[in-house]
Amino acid sequence: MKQSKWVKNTLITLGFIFVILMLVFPLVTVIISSLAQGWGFYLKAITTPYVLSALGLTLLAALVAVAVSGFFGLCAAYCIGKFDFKGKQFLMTLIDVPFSISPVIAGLAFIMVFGRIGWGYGILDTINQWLGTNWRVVFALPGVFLATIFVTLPFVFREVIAIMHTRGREEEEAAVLMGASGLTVFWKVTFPQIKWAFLYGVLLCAARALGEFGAVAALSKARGSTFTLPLEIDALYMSGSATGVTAAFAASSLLVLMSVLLLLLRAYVEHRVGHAGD
Amino acid sequence: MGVTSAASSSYVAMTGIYKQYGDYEASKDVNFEITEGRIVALLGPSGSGKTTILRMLAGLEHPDEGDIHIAGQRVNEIVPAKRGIGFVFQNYALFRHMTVFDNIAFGLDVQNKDRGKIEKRVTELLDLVGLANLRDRYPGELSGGQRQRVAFARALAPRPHVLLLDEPFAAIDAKVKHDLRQWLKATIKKSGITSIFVTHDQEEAVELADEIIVTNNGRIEQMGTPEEIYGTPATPFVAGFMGKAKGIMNYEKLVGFDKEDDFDWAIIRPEFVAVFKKDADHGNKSAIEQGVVEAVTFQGTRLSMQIRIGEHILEAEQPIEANMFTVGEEVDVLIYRLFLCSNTDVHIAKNKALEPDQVFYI
Repeated sequence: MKQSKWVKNTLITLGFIFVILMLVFPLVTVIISSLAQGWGFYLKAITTPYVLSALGLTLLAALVAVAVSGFFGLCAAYCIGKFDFKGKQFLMTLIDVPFSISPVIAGLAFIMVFGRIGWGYGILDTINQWLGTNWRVVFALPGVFLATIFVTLPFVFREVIAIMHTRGREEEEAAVLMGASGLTVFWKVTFPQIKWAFLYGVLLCAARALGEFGAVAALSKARGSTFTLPLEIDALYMSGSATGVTAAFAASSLLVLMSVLLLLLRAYVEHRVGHAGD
Repeated sequence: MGVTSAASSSYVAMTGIYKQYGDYEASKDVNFEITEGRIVALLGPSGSGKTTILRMLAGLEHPDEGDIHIAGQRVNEIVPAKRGIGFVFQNYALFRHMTVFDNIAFGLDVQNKDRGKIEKRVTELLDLVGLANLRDRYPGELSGGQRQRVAFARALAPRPHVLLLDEPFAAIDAKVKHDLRQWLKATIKKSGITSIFVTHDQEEAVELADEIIVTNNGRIEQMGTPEEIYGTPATPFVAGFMGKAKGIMNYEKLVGFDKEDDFDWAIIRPEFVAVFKKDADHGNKSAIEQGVVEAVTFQGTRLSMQIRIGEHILEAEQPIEANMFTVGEEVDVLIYRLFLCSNTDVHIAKNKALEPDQVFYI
């Protein structure tokens, strides 16, 4: 008994030391470093046209990713959770691919498809000629969106399918037997069961979208127009000057603040998901 | 089957039903007819196809072959919601985020019934199931028995022709099962609705049902009243499934029974066996076997004994208040009858050494 208490205390202490060293300390450093040259510099650094453009694009990309991955995740979870069909297991594995593939590879894959030598380029070209437009995917906004969607695809699906598996189909069957239409069943029976899990998935998805670097870096080369915040931070830091580094920290603090906000929301939603079974 | 016969005697009928899932045959030539207002049990071991029958009646599964009739109408092509079915799921499938009232009202709500009418019907049902004071509770706040009542009321709300119940007591504590069965039977009878329920528990089927359909391996083995199923089983399976049955070989070595052609083995139940003290006074000495008590087990309301007679070990039961027997004691044993079994057939053999007037039934 005495020994297990000793083990317990040691493990708790180790846990705290680890979290403080690996997470709290670096994040506090970011905030402190961002203010190294005073509030005036800080405000100026986060309002340069480059940073503002990157901030706007980051939020927009996150919004698009949440909308697409959220909608897709919900549809996929519904069809996998409520119906039986061949290849179901295979589809589930496919949806998880973004978890296990390096984002840089995803970015390069999109270049190989939509870049000048890719098979998608010709199709895109034909469409552009037809409509008289000049749409580009690679090194343009659609590429940034595609990359962000790719890395966030599984999040909503994962959360929603887990709840659907534990809940089964009986409530839906009961509703159908009583004459409810498909849409009524979804809104009155299915959605109330999964709404907190869905929201939790959306928050995870948003957090991932805000921080994505590798996939976007492969597809985005124009600072000030297709750079997201992580790319802008990288660019500022790589400039090497003392002001550049401080500016990089200032821009980083924006990401940190958004993440903390999402974290608080997550904690609240997590609490609700935990009680959803009551 | 013609529409006329469906309308006259049978209210629910299945004719020539086949259903296959991949290689697994869930239903093989299923036929039965159920009269209006009866409570019928689909009884069988798990995997015997009883739940498939229930789900096909509801329209949640579709037969590969055969016809289904409900209330004089062929319903094969009719969607579940239009079949006039009330369904009580095994775990009740209550809507967790809706109150008791909203759960019961759901079937009427989706029909866009007038609000006043819904209120009236739901209140009526809440009174029927005795849950009027819990109308604003959520399912999570109810006991198993209360949830069952809500599921029952919800199924009845749209006034279905037929009530289907899938293992309605599976989620109920053993302690309150008996009371709930009596309550459910009385309430079903009061509402007069034709009901079909699935169970693997023969006690439940016997207690609740007017008629029992015994299923095995995708087929119907026998349909009849509980007394018929219990007393005159039609197949070796039914004889072995009902009661505390035990199979024995070489039954001709027991006093009073002869070997019959094709009937290679026999089934015996504890109630076929009477055990007497050595010095007890009983009429027919010629029908008596000599046995030895091998084991005695106290089972609450009765004693269960293992008696060795030659190569056979038979089970017998004795009320607690009757004679006490001890292990190793020599006893007189009287075997009233056996179910003799061939591969497909079963028939009752009475102890021929007994005078007819001395046969008594337990």
